[in-house]
Amino acid sequence: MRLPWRPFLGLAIFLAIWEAVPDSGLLPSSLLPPPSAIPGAFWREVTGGQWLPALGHSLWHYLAGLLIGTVSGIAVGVAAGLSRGLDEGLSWVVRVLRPIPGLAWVPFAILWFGISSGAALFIIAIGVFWINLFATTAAVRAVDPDLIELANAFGRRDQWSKLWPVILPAAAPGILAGVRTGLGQAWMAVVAAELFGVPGIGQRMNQAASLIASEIVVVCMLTIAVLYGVMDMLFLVVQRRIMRWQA
Amino acid sequence: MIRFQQLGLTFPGATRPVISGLDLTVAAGEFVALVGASGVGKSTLLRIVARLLAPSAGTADVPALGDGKRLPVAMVFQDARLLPWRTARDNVLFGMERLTIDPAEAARRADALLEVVGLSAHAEKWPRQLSGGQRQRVAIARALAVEPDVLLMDEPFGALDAITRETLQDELAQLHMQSGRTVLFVTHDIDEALYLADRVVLLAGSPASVSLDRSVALPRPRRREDPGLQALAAEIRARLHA
Repeated sequence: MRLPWRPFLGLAIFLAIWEAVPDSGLLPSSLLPPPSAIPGAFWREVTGGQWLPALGHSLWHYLAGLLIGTVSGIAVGVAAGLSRGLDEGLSWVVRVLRPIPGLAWVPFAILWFGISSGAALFIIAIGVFWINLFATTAAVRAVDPDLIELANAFGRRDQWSKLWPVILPAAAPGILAGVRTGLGQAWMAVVAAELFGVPGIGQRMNQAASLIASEIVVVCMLTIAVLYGVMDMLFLVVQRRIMRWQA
Repeated sequence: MIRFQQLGLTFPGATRPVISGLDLTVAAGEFVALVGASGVGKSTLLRIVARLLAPSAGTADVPALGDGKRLPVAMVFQDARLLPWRTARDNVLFGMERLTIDPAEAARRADALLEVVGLSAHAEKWPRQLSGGQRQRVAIARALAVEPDVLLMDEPFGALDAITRETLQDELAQLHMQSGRTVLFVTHDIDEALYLADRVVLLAGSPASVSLDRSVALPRPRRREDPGLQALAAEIRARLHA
């Protein structure tokens, strides 16, 4: 296999410029730490015992919030996709609640849950919920009516008997697209929630910023970037497995 | 087996009926071909037999929905309509899953039917990996698997190339001779109708009713070049264009 050299070149140029800016004195290195300072800072974070617990907290918030938001979003989305009545009944409630950004729920999250993991889960789950709700409703409604007729012709006359064997697999591509969007959205919410003091990488980042330990801020940022990359890759592996019937 | 008396159907919201005053009786074991111009209501009639549509006038005596052991009516659509996320074999199992059949028996039946339609070697393939003719064979196996009394076929070979079509016609003719199952077969191809059916029923008019009901009293297996078929075809064409 031929290695794609252009991405490496691009990355090298990016790092060189980044390195040059604090070196040349344009910005003090306390405001923009050079990339060469990052590996050392990362090692100090790991050996100092800060990195791993922060990672553990953030991962827990991420996975639990993601799970709650995704499962509930898909469940309500399937119900709304199957039932015109429910969809119409919900339409105005959704129109009011949906435009509220996840971060706007922070005050209530703190009032209801305190500065706790519960607050973080709530903020993460609510953002993910909407994404999955809309993706799933649309996907279920778009299921090929010919397949519904087929199911009817072969003895699956009611909605329930069609759900698992026909409707969900047919809607799977659309539902999974929503899940993947939620995967990215949830990381943003994790950081936002933890910036308010819930333990995790976001909180560590905030602490480091107040100490002007900017290289630690960069370590936190890169941690999140790598975690997101890993999650997305895992998702693609699972998706390929689920959708292996597609070309 | 199937009996329509003064049958009428008006789709919800439509002002004019699609079918009106239609009388037709199909006896058990008969192979009846429905021909007529596209859009005349042939497929609609099949859907009434399958209880996918309810008539709005007249009476329709069609098989009941079934007792959970068999499906009395099974359908083959023009676009094979396989579930793309299931292998050929799992598609054949689809109809049987609603029935109280022992899973081992269902699996045995699926394998036997894949053998009958010549697809044993393709049982684990996805629909996208099969040709149009192979997909339609899977759809036929899926319909036969529920052991229906009535097999409904809605232009099943209409989208296939000429050679595949003739092969599948021969296979269907043979299956029918062996099983003696009632078949209601929609086609716009008069030669196909005459080659396969015991009776050819021409639907015409708007709203549609039976315009011609002709038995095809020719011995089986039939030959496509039989002069008797040609003469009947000429008669039906004359009526179709009248």
